[in-house]
Parts: sequence; structure tokens; C-alpha cells
Amino acid sequence: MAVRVLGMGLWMPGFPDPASWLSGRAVEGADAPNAQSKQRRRSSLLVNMVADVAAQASAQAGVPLSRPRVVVGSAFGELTTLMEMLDERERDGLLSPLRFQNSVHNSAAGQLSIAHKNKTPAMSLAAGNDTVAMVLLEAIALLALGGDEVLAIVADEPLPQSITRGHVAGAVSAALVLAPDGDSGAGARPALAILEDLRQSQAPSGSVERPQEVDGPSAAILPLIAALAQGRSGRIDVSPSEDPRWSIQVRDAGQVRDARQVRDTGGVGNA
Amino acid sequence: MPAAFPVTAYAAINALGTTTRDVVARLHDGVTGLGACPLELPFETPTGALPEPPPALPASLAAWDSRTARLAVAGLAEILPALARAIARHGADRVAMVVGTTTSGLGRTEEAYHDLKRTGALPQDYDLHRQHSFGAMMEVLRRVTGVGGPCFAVSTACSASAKAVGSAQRLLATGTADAVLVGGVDALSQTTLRGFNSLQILSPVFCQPLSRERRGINIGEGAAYLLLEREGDAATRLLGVGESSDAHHMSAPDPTGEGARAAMAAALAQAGVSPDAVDYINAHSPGTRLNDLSEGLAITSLLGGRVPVASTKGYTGHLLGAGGATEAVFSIVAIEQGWIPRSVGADPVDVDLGMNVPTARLDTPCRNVLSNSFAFGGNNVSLLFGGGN
Repeated sequence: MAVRVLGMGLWMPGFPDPASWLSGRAVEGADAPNAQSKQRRRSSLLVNMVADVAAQASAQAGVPLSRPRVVVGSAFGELTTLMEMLDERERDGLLSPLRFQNSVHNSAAGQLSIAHKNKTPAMSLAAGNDTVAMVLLEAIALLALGGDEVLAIVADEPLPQSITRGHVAGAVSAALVLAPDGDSGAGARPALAILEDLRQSQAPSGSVERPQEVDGPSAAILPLIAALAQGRSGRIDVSPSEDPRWSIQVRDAGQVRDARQVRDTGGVGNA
Repeated sequence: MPAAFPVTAYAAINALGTTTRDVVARLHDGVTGLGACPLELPFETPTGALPEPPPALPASLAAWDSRTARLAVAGLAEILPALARAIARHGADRVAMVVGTTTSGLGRTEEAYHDLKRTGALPQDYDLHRQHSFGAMMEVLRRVTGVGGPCFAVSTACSASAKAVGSAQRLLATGTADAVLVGGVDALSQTTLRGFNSLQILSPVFCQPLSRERRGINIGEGAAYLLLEREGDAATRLLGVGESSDAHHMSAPDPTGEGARAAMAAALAQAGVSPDAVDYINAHSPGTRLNDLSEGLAITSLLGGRVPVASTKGYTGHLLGAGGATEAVFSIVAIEQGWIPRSVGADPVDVDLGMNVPTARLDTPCRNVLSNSFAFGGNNVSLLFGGGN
């Protein structure tokens, strides 16, 4: 099954869009995701990251967030909210009801659907180092069985220092708006690229280097974001380099949406 | 439209018993598994704890230890032979695994954090990656089963393992896998119980879903699995999966029932089954008034008031991420054995719901059964099972 990538988004601390990350120059003040201030105050970092990258991808794709089915992947889910609840329990044993309802793994998917009145199915999944690959697998399967766009998102907060041994991975979030590749030729929707042949492999493809300073399960999407932003084709690993199991083929869409447009507009979440 | 996929094996453990046979026997006899909560809490609420603690993990898996992982492995025991045969038939890489959970190793992290606050140090054997993360439980299951295809955990709160059935259906329909072990696992934890208490929806007595005397929900724990295959003989098939979002509120259902109705309608439409051909609905109904009103509207507007509607949460408690798979097993048993469990705790029934709620077991053939699971985030799933032939 081949799918078209209609839009993408990315947020990491200091990097508010794919272009800033590729340039390697951190943007001053981009230390929080670009979510509406009311939501930002009330919501977790994970929810705000998902809202930001969803808005970026939606704006580039021209697909309103009321429309696509949503698949969110996060290896650890709402960890910061969980730590706050564990502290509440240690303090006086009483948990905040608002915090509890927002602690579920599908909080980001649910809040996205509520914010945009999106009544289509919303998935929330986790698969350790294979989280990015399984999000793509689920999104592609949804498209294969019918319907239009799927918004595929991965996001992970930094792990809590107090309960993590060793290195703590940083925050990473990214989104892709995917659509069926049914309309080839002149009528095809402008796309960044076509993705196909997601599969397990025994050896890394070695096609894209991942920056050493960024790791964690969700960072496995960065080589794909880089290839899409740079208009490069080839087989791309979507599992962490130490466990190279899943890869996907990136192919020229023919009628290519200009990836530089993301850079020119700043790629901000302005849907 | 996805084909109807045979359910070639199933298993469930929960408060009703530690074997599927015991679980089904007590469901048949209308006996609740609810009892006193084994965790120390500053409030009273019954729970559906496993009758005896799940066994420790094998020594080779000790580093992944958590109560959820133990439940996950204990629940596998009865289905492992059928899974091994499927792996032999199709090859390990052609068998996938999708499991719903809300807690994963949360209980283990609660203990570790409590130790950290008390002593200033994490327990020596605590590992966030191996004991807390959702992927950790899947790694344990992968090592025990030998499954080599796609593996992921679904975590959409209380609909998680019903949602997992939808993913399994897609993996089969797209030819990604020839067999999928799909299930749900959740363990009792302090955070879950205290969290539901903070929402003021825990019942201080045995829960009474669909009753006019309902006072809230009880939480339970358990594990349940189905083996779905692309082809094969089976007494029951997965006919359809309907999914929707309320887009209304994080923790309260849409009072119009529109999202729940859309999920049920989608399951029926996918299967080409008319509402008249549904003989039983396993309701989500955990025991709150808001859910009963919303689900009641959804059911009566789509299927009228004829079809028997029962909730099994009065037997097991609300199994959260294990609920959808567990109630799928109950729905399959209704088809295979021809009986509908009494909706334990429902007497006196809330007649204002306009539904046919059985307070005694109905011995009657069931052609098609809908099983509903609704969740935080307005996440709705309805599964449709039907006779195999």
C-alpha cells in the first residue's frame, strides 16, 4: 500500500518546525510548543506537542483537523502528569480529578478530537522502540481499508529524571498527514512524497544518519522527516539505530508540494 | 469491507476465576466475583481482584516484573497451545500481537516512587523501560509467545482492548498478518483507584449497572485474549468493528449517545448485519448514571427496546484496558453456548432507560452479539460477533 504525505510538522525544544531542525540553528524562545495559550496552561507538554505538530501538518496539507482519523503513538504517554499524581499521593493521598482524567495515554488524541470537533476514530498506541513504525503501520492499514486522510503523530516527553537511570532522552514530536495514493497523474493531490513498503528488515538501511544528540523512541521519525523536507528518496529506517527492525520506502510524488514552503511560512501551528 | 475472521481460541482470567472455564461457569451461574479491595486505601470500595495473585514471572523475565506483566503471562496459559499451532502454520513473522492496557507497569512505578521518597533511592531492581513502559509488557509477551510480526499496545483508556480488536482486524484484512493474538491486560493500582475516587464515581458497594439504584463503578483486574485468523473453522467470527469519537468531553460521555450509536451502526454496516439480527448487547455500562443514559439512548434509538442488554461489570468490576477483550470473550460464549448472563446488580432495573435488561439468565440462541466499550477521550468502540457458519 502506497500513501501520499500531504503535510508534516515537527517540534523539539528550540526547533519549532522541520526547517529549523534541519538547519541546526535553534530558534530563540521556541522552548514550548505553539499551542493556544489557554490550552498551553491547562495541558501537559505531550498534549501541547501533539496540538502543535498536528496544526503544522494540517496547515501544510490543507486538511482541517476536524476531518482526518488520528493515530497517536507515544512510548511512555503522559509521564509528567503521572509524576504529578505520584507526588500528590505522597503528599496527602488525594489526586486532582482533572489531572487523573488527563493522565490517560489517549489524552492528546482525545483533546485533539474535542478541540476540533473531530468525531472520526482516534487511536493511541505504544510499542517501545517500534512506536514510530507501528503508528505508520496502523495509519497505512486504516487508509488501505477506505476513507480519506489519516493524521499520524508521534510524541514523547523527556523521561522524568527522578525515576530514570542513566541518560534521559529529550522531547520529540512530529506529525504527518497521509492520504491514499489512489489518484495518480495530473489529478493527484500535491504531496511531499509517497511512502510505501513498510517492512521489517534484518539490517539497517543506513540511508540517513540520525543526529546523535536526539534519541528516544519517537526520535526514530527524524530520518523520515529529514528525507521528506529535503525531497530525498530511498529506504528510510523508522526504528532506533540500535534496533533496526522497520524501514519504509520514500518515493518522489511526481507533483511535489514544495517542502521549502514550510520554511518560508515558519511552519508554525497556525491552522 | 473486511472479511469475517474466525475466533480460533480465547481465554480470560479475572475476579471470576483463574481459568476460562471457572470464569464462564460463574458468569453462567450469575455469581459476582467482586469482593474487598486488597489494596490499602483511605476509602471503601469493592474491587474485582484476581482470586489469587498471579504467579511470578519466570526467572528469565524477572527484570520485567510488574503485576500487569504477571497478569499478562498468567492469562496466556490457556491460549498458548493454539497460538503455537498458529505460529507453526503461518510462521512467526506472520503472527502479530495487539494488546490493550491502561496501566502497563504503573503499580511497580508507584512502589518504586514510594521507596524513593521514603529512602532517597530507587529500588535496585526498578527499571522504567522494562517495568513501566507500555512496550515492556509487549516485550514480555513477545518473549513468552515467540510472536515475530508487528506488536503494539493500544492505550485508549477503557476501550483499549476493544480498539485492539479493530487494529487486529485491519492487520488481517490488509494481509499484514495471518493470525493476530489480540487482548487486554490491566492490574489494580493505587493511582487508578484514587483517580476514579477523585472523580467521585467509585461505588462504596457492589456496583449496580443499569439499575435505578446505581451508585457508581467498581474497578477490577484481569487479562483476556482472542486468537483471530484470516482463515479457519470456528464457532464464532468477528463480523464487524465500529469506532467513533464523541468530541465532547475528556471524562463524560456525550449525553445524546451520538458517538456510541455511530460506533454500533458502523459495526453493523461493516458486517452487513441488520439491527433486527442482533440477539444480545453486552453493554459498556460500568455503573454511572451518565453512561447508562447515554448508552441507553444510543441503543434504543438504533435497535429499539427489544434486544436483551446486560452489563457484566457487576461480575468482574470495570476491567479498564482489559474490559473490551474480556467482554468479547463473554459475547463469544453467548453465541457458542446459547445463553445471556443475568445483568448482575441491575435489579431493580432503571426502566426509564427503555431497555430489555435481563435480571435472570436467558437460555436462548444468539446469532449476533454487539459488545460496547467506551472510554475517556470520548473513545467509542463496538464489536460485532456472529456464529461461525
